Amino acid sequence: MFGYHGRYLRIDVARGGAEYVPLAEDVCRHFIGGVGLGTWILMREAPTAVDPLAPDAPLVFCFSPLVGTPLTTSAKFAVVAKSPLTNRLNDALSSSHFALAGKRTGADALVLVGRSQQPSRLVIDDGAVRIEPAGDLWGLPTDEASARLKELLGPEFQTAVIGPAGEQLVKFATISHDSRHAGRGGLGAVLGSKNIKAVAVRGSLRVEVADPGGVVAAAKELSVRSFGPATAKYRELGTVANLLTFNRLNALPTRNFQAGTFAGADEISGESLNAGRRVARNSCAACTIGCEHIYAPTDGPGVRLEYESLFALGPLCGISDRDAILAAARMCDRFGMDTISAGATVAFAMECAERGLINAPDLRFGNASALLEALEQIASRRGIGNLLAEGTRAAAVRLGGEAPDFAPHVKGLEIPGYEPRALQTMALGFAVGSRGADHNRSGAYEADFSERADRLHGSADSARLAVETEDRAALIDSLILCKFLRGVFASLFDESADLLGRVTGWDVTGDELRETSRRIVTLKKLFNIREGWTPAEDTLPKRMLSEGLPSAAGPGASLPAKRLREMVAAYYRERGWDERGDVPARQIDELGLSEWRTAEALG
Amino acid sequence: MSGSGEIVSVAEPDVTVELFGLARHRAGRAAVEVRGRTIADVLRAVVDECPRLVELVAADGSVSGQFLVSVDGERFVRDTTEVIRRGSRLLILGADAGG
Repeated sequence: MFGYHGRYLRIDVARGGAEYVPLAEDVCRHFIGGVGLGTWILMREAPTAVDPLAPDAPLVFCFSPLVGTPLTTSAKFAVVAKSPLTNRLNDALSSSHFALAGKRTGADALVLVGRSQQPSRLVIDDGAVRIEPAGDLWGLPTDEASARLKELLGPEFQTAVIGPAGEQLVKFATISHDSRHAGRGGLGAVLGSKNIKAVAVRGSLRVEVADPGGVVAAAKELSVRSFGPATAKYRELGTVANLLTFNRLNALPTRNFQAGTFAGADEISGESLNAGRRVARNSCAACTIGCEHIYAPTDGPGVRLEYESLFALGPLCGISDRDAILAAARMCDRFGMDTISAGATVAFAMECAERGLINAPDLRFGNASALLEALEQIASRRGIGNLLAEGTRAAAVRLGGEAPDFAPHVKGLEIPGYEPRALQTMALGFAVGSRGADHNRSGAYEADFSERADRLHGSADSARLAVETEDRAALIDSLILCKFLRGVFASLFDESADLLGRVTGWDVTGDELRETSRRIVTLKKLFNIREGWTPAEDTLPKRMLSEGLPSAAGPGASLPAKRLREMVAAYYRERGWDERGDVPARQIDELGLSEWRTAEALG
Repeated sequence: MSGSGEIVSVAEPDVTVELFGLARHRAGRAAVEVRGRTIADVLRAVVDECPRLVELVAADGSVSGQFLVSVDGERFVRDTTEVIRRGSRLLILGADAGG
């Protein structure tokens, strides 16, 4: 089989044993790699209703057939597990040399189960597995742990590490490689629950591709296109450029989603950061885009900042102090915490404090030092941090009163920086997302930022657009390519089929990949159904459905609950699911998912 | 008559064009005041005013795929023949909102 090793490596970190599990070619073709194949492996390896932090809960690092080829942005890997934050499927992507070295260990995926008796590091060297004590690493921030491992193991090893937040089982802890994070849903806590501080990989086992010359030619051509106008924003400004745009459109979540515009937006805008604070630009391995922009605070080292971190640690907490936002982003990176969930959780706590639900006099919107203190408390589970480390959904339930109404999450995952009332196709994408409120698995905001949708008045027509962007994301996340590349494809499915065909030798077509995308989205749904999903989860917080969005610069907006229900119902119809959102047996069979046909899946 | 029934002057009205993201970065300014009756008129005037925005308009006169045009922040438009209502503002944004 070209492009694949045709097996994954299951590692029991409790006893240090490992075994290869064969991957049949039809499985690879049906799920490709990354998020798709990772979900299939998780479905197979995870016991039904497993506690995400239990020893037998699997954690999957999944590569893809494109990893190791010269195709730009293909050095990526997916991490897939049941989320301790949502109790649903969670898949997060990260990039760079870990993907390359990980695949060269000789497996298409690494599956970790068990729990080591002591803090340990997992070392995989050309397929040979060893578990080594890592007590000296325990407690170190992600950057220091990574540097220490380089010293201990040598520069050829690539590492994925957790920070103190993962050790403390913070429910939105990340897994970090080279300061890039598999960020959402608490995968760092899953690794921490296994007492594994780091996974180190080195390898020399390459896979063959079917058409080496064809792959090189395609890679050259794709690289040229990647320098074009479709990626100019990412190269020239980075994602922080979103902030002022969203502010103008009343779509910038502010003070825990109480407003869509922020008075301090100009002070922290991408434009002002780029004018005064940008010091460098970086890229992942095998990437020609170079989207990472590094900004320097008044004093201290440079920090990579993306829009999502900027919005969550800035406007969402009412903070317009650039240095404080950069410091907060750096703290999250070093502690190993998802900046979106961390910022949203602190913003939620600030509102709780203002309403008297939490006794924390300093925890107020706009108080930057309170933000920094809260982040430290969360990472160490100290004081109020022990509650907030559970995420907004669990914290709101414990606090009671009206707290659940304004806890900013879907299925437990905190909402990213797209105000749902002002971007209503995205609102639908958030509501039905398999991993919760998610701007990476649903790109429905693309429709809102176009003439194809009325962003302020979602309708049943939104369903088709939401499905379309979700399917595109499923393909990109399984190939895996960077989403920042998506604008260079005139026909994503057809061109992806061409790339995949050159690597694997399959006679794959765009139509086949459309079905593959549907299969992957459906399998995610089946996992969630198996784990207890109910239709009541496919919604938004009460605040979004009962409070209008005040207008400052842009038009006001509201999203009545009835409208969202109608949009969700239309989404189910568009997917071919029944009115309750369950997947009909016939569709399960047609997509080749019969082995996952359970009583739960059929409602 | 405009779509809303409002009478539009034959004279080209002054239009405020707000620039965001790449458009602002390349133009080096946050807004420009130009005259134009249709969106196409306005976009051509913006390019005349800010030559570094030459990629704003495609060869066929449409908005290039790299940018988006919004009327008053309420709706996005591709049809550049649309007549601009007096008092409207145009927003020019980068086409990619991902982040």
